[in-house]
Amino acid sequence: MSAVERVLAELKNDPVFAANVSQWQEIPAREGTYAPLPSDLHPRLRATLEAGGVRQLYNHQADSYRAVRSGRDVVVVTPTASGKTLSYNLAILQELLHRPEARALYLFPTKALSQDQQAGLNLAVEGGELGVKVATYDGDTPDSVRASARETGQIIISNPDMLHSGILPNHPKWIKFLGNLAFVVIDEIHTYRGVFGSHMTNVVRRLRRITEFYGADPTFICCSATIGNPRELAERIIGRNVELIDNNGAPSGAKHLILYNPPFVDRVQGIRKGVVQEARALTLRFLKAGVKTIVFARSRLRTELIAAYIRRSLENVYTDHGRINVEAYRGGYLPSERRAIERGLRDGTVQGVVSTNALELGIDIGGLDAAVLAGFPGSISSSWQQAGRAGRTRNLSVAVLVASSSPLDQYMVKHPHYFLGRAPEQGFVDPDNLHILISHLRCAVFELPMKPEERYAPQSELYLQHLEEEGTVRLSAGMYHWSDRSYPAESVSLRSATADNVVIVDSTNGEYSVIGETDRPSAKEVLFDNAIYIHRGEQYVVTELDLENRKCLVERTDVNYYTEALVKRDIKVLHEDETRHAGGSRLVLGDILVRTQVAKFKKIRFQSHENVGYGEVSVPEEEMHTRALTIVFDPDTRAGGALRELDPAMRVPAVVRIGTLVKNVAPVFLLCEATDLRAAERLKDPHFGQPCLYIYDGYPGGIGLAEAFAGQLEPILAAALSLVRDCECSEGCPSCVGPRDPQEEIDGNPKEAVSAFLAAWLSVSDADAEPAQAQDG
Amino acid sequence: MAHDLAGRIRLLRQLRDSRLTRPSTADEEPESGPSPQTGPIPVAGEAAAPPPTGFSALADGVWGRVIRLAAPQLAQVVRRGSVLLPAADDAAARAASIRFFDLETTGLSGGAGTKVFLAGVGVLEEETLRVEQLLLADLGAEPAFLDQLALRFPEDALYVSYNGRAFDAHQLKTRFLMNRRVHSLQFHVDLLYPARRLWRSVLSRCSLAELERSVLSIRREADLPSAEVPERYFAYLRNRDPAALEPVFAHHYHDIVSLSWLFITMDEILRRPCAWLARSEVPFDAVQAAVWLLSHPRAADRRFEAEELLNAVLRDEDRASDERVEAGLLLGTCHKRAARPHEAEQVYRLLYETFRDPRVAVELAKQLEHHRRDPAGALEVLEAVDLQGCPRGVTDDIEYRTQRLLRKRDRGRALHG
Repeated sequence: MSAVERVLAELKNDPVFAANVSQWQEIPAREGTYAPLPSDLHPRLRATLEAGGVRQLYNHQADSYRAVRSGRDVVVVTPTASGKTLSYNLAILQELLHRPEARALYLFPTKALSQDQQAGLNLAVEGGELGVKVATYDGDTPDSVRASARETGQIIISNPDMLHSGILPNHPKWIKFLGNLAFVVIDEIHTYRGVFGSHMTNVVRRLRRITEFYGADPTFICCSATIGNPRELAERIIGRNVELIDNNGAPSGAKHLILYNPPFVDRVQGIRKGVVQEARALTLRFLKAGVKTIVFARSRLRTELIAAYIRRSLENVYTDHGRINVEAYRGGYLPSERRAIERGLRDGTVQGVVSTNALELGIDIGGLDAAVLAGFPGSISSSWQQAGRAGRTRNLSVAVLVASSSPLDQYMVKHPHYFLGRAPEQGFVDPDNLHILISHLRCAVFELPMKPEERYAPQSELYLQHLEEEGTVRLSAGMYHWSDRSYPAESVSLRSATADNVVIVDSTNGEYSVIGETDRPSAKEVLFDNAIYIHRGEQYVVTELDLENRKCLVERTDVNYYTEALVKRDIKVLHEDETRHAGGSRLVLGDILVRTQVAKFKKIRFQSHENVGYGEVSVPEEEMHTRALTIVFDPDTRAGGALRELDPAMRVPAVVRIGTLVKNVAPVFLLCEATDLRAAERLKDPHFGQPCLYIYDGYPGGIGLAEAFAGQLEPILAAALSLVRDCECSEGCPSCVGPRDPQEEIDGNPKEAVSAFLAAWLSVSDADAEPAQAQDG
Repeated sequence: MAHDLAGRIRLLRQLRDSRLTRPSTADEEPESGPSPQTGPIPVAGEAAAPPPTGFSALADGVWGRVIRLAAPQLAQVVRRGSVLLPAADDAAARAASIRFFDLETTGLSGGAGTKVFLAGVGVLEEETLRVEQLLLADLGAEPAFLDQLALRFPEDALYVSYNGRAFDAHQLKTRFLMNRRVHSLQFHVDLLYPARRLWRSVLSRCSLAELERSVLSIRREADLPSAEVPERYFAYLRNRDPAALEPVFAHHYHDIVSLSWLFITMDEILRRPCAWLARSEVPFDAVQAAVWLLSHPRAADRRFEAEELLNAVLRDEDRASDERVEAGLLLGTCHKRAARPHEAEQVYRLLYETFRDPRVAVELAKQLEHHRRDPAGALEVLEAVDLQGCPRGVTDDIEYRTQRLLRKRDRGRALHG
């Protein structure tokens, strides 16, 4: 009996645990489906494969080989551990062996991934003595090897950021590589959605302009995790039709998937045991039984908290902490720290890791047996990716989703058919977001002058005219030329709304060492003076946030609380673009200006999570121009009527709660984070003169979330209604409409009011409450 | 700029929306580009713009001017051949084609979007330096501009620049590539590298401007800082007022002329370093000058000057001890390489007796032990060294040698005793 089998049997027989399991699903092992090695395979490549024990291919590998060999662009949908890399390496190595002057570019979303990839490729290449030159080219590549990478690298492994700011603006240095570029691999293409994807689409547009200039037309090979619309997403990003290959032929070991809802502490107030403590307890159980475990937490803070709690529980000097080594892992760590942790996981010196979604992607961390999802990761496709990090080998594995009390989590554990039966969310990009498009248009003109009629993007001539007015481009001899001394790629970050990051400096004992960085708007919310910042389990207190110099000084400290900012927002409508009547209400799409101000922060005690004090914050306000969908409750609409049915004192609380609900449910329908979408309510809106609910995009200029939300309004509201109805609490709890707030001073039951309001709005009777079915991809 | 983007976007959206709702034109002009033009497209604004003072049109969108200046000294240096130029069979022929060049660009960060807008080349014609400056009148005229540059920058001529290897030559190559042409300078001497040898330890910076002041004793009146150059050009593109460029032309012209003078001065110094050292009107790092001469492709021809220079530094009691020790160590190495062990020992002995420097002690001990076969003398030298403040590597070396010599002595005593 393996360790996993033992611990699963123990959990099954534990009545306390079993009572909180809402679903225990056994996903059976899967047999593989195979195809022979292609007959035209280069003898040396065949020999390398056979030496590595590969005598046949999985179906999807053989299919992508055939498609790529015949020059078709493909997207290969690959679950974790399905031999993804071979599905593109095979056709590419084959070409490089026959045509050594050909070149291939591999793009991975993170640097960590590209390093792992090179390690794998080097192995194959050196092992088989294929003589194919592979080079990594990213921010960590020393200057001394860059020139030789450009000149001789047949496969260059890089990331979109480097392509954007290093390669494309200097393309004349890359003439040999780009002029012979035959393949572009875009791995983990499902990560390129929303803001990042919109940037990526533009980077690919720019790449294609440059390769065309040099007379090359590379084939694109994309790989995606299971999402609702991999083909559509890939076609948007590369701007061409692609062939979908999703006949996964890889075998997989059996997996137990457990949906676990922590028990109530206070049933009336709907308070459940916290996800942090429950995840800690469960992880300890796994680790002590000898099961290598990965824990995924939803935030950097929680990652640090859970890792610290687990370590504290294992603390014992006599047993060397049970000889169990647990690490935290997240963005914001230095690359060397991350590499060390990855290595520890592979070589077995680290038995447990608590990570943000940073480890969700295919970084090789070896075989783990259990995955604990401390909270629903925000999307079904992410959940499967995270669950897939356990059981990369053919062995039995287990994944447990520990639900938090957030409405989305509660919805998932109470509606397992959603989680298990539904096609995952769709990824979408909006490459023509004004901010994003204009930024990349500047870069594109810098790279190569542009004719007014060139179809860089729809209507791009208009934007060029705008850039001409701005003075950064100049029309001369029928072409737009870059006419500014700056280097435009430098001021465009693909990862965030703003390019400027704040560097976090540890100044304990007068030493100055950089321990991390964060973008400026978040800095205002997490690095205000006196905030507690947690890094690798160490607590630091912010001594000085210097926004002007993009620097934040922190010092090591030891306190029993952490801090959370209280944010105030103010909304101004700038422009109404479109008004629709749908779903029993008036919907207005348009531009708004949101002003955000952090004025105070809360101190929250560890373990008990109680509020132990407040502090003042003084940071300048942040302004954002974005897109919003406003739901206007006019008296003559069904929604407006439903609102007016409510007791006047109940109206504000009800609208506030609906805002909370829809914001939390929306990520099920739109592939976005709950924080990408914001909600704000006004009982008497100064602009519309009516009660309103604003749902707006969290990214400057908007990335299409407001529009997408408008299209899905009814299923989102229906899901909100079923969530409220199915919740076991009596007057509202964090899992549905939020707990009662004593400061509101309302009589009556707000939860019932919300339920009645939504039912009347959607005109469904109390009897036939059906869980909403979202549109499948 | 970020601040008024909101307003811009408003405008853009309105524009876009009004276009989208104009049904007929959308069908007629699916590409929404401007109406196709026939014939060659004139360079915007060029016709209306007056040429800058002294410039005349070389091609559509390309202005040029020539300034001549008497350069008998330069002619002399070129005629007799310069130490700064590479040694090749056809060196004399190539030296006759020597070109001093400098470029001004629209930005300093490089990359495909940075253009060369002003190129200057100084060619020796008999006893005069003919400096030609070429101006790109507008960005779209680049192909014609490059045609003119190709004529004035033949690939096989010999080029002299200051910091042109890392920047200017690269920019030039990029501009040609961007216009689908291949053009690169094959013979290029960048004075920055020997200049760094001569003056890095003497001057605060080694920029051309600094050398002009300190070495050439030239004072420029109201010179334009390099950082302001791109802005001037963009202002000219916007306003078409050539007056904005006058300071750029002057700055650029002076850079090329100074470059030729710097070439003459550096040639003089490196040709007769001892004489320059004695005159001491232009201070330079003599030891590094010797290093440069010894690493010269024709080092054999330069060895005599180098050794003479090192010897002068070594024996000049007014000089700092560090400098004298460095010179002596290098001179000792020269003697050893030339199989003159006695001269080497003399140098080390002199240094040892004057300074007791540990590194010198090591060298002297080696000479004594291996050439004079005098281990006892070597041991004596090593034991007399003051190790205080001595670098770790040297201490270890001394310790190791002392121990070895001690063992050798003990073995000798045992045999005889």
